[in-house]
Amino acid sequence: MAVSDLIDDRLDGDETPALRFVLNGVEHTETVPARMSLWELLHDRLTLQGTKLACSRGVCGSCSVLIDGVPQASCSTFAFSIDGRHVDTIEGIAAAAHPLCEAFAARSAFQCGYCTSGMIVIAKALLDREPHPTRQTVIEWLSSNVCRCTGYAMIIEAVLAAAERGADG
Amino acid sequence: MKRTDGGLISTSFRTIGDVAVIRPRSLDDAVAALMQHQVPPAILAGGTDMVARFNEGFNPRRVLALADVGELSAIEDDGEVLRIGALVTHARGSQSDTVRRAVPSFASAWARIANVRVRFTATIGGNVMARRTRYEMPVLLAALGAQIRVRDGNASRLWNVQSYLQREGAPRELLTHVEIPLADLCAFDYERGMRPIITQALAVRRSGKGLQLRVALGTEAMAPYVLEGTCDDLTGDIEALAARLFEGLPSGVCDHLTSNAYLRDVGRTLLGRQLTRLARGGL
Repeated sequence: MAVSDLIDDRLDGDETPALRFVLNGVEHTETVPARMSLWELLHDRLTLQGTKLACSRGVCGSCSVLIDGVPQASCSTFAFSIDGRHVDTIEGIAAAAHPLCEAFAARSAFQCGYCTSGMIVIAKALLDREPHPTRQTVIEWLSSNVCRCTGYAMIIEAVLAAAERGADG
Repeated sequence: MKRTDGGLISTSFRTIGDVAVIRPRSLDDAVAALMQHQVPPAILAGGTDMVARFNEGFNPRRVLALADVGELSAIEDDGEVLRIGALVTHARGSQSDTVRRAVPSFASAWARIANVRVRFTATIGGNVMARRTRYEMPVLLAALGAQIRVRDGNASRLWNVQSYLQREGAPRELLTHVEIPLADLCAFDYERGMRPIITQALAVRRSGKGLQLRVALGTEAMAPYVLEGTCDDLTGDIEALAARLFEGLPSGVCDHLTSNAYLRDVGRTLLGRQLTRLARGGL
């Protein structure tokens, strides 16, 4: 390490940002370390443990949440970045009795179940934008997430069934 | 298992040290923050690449979060140049009416980068600034002859894509825009059927001498290599044209996954397909 690095240890940024955000429809205020990931905030501090951590690098999608309706990997998102935004997790989606939850259960669209919350989150983001997606569109969206049990066929069927049920009202 | 500064297990978000976050609201403030410290803060745009770097042992002391710098989110077309702000995400850029009008096939190619979830977050600036050979945007931009605009203190500089990617170290500067010259651009095509081994972008511009072809060849481990050639039109022997252009590939160009002969063979085959597509499209 260079001497110049050592003498530049004065942190003049914000180390503990204060955040205001809406989580699953409820306003929250939190002060977090700047280094904290959104996953740590949700899972460890707010004990919303439905959001699962797997790859820790934004690849697998199992930790997906919706930020202002956009699916994002919470493992790859700084907690401070949700200031002023709306976050929805699997708990909020389940509490709203979204048709996806019932469709996943009815079609047994899981094996170990570890990827399920992320799959439902990204499927909700899709159906919010396209209530009647084609099978190809469902496949394209779900390819953002990984199911290590390779249970994709039933997951795709569940999303299509939920879309159909939504269309039926 | 990879040995990193964090020990035998790769580092991650959970093992990085304390970080201070700087959240500027203007480009001037962002550049000032970048210039202020002995050790420049890590620049955070969409964040997808930074987190990958955590797993590689990156442990930033400060993070310069650009999300609130609105000047970096603009997309403009003045008829000569398509100017895309560094914070434009893949999703927004590929769906932008301005981009689709200016270079529709570039918008289509952009829409195929990464996956749906990552496209909502990852930015064009982050994709280029990461200087990772496996990222696709530099291949598209190299074929288009795009330039990278950076702010360095009060100065603004332009780099061509290949020069930008080949620079050593981490220069203290902020990538603000990507600029794509539109003059005479009449066609663009992207071939990624062989990804990650090879991807290839082709831009065609019309000049007084006929058609100017600019091919960017990218691989998993090689920065885009650009080949240029000309032809009168695309009515002749396209395979011969493709082969002739790839004769210009220097003998040393390859990466650890490919040989020069392989790149030559695959490149000219892909170029033949690309030129055929454009010819059938009426070019």
